[in-house]
Amino acid sequence: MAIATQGTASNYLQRAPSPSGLADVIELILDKGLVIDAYIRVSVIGIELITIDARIVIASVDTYLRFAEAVNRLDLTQTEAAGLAELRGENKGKEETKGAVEGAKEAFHRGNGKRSKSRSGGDDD
Amino acid sequence: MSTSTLTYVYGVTWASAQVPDDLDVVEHGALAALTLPVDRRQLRARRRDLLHHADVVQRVFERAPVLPFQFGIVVDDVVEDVLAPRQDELVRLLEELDGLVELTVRASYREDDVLRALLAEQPQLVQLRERGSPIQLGEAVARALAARRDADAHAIVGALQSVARTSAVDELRTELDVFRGAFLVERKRVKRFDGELERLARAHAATTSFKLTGPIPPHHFVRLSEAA
Repeated sequence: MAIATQGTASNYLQRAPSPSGLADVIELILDKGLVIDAYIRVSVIGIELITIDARIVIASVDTYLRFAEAVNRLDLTQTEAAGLAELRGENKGKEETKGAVEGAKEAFHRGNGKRSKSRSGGDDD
Repeated sequence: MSTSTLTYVYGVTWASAQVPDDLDVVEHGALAALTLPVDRRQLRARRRDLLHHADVVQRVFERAPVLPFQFGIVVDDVVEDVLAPRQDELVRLLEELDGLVELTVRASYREDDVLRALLAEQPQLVQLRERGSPIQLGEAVARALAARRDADAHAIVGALQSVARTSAVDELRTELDVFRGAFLVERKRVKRFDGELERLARAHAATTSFKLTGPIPPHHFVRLSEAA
């Protein structure tokens, strides 16, 4: 049980003792940190691209279209259909149903990492 | 030596601090600058240089309070240009930040999970998905997501601020970002902060992934007045 809890925790809260990736480091030491006088900071080559790249426009037609596509891609029937099938005691397409039921359980368990949850959640059945 | 070469500055700590042997230090009064001799004013932000800068201040910070400088500070003479004119302020800042650490927090939605949650909560989105145009649907989703983000970010900051001295909010980078920012926390309260974040992350686990970095030097919280 302790193992299951830890495995689950790592999925929604990741911890790093120090900035791990280049992106984290860039944000901390290029944008932040002490500046004595603006003119003292020398010209640093090669950072503009990195920082500008990261900024995005939040509300745009492109964003809307991307969201629409992502929403349309979602299979909303998955969990509900499985629930009904189970209620009716239907057993054909067993594999598919089983997968979907596990999906529904995961949803109840607040959607933690799918595989680790079904493997570690010994109290499910 | 200092006349023939320029000096890169990583940060400032106490002269009494035990600095790792491989680092150059220039002392002035109670202060010590962490330095590197360089021969030009123009620097390239190469990956290894950026990581090295962060690593230097991190290593010193594990032993003593440190004021991390921004990447790219090169001076003719670190005493004349930095330590002497700003001595009082640097001392005060080091004293203020003694025993305090920075913890950075990132929270972002997992796209499919948050969209699924929005559709489950808001039937009109499901209707739009069936009958609306892609733009109508996308805009409604973006609006619902923004409202959700504002509420979630508010809850996150509120909860974490209660265990922090102060906070700094960073700009969001993507539409799936919920919160990005840093908290200044007493070293002895780091565990409590971690526990509070754990509780928050658990409560938002269905849609949101969190990342906690630290304790690190107070990059977000070092500021001097504009004029010398």
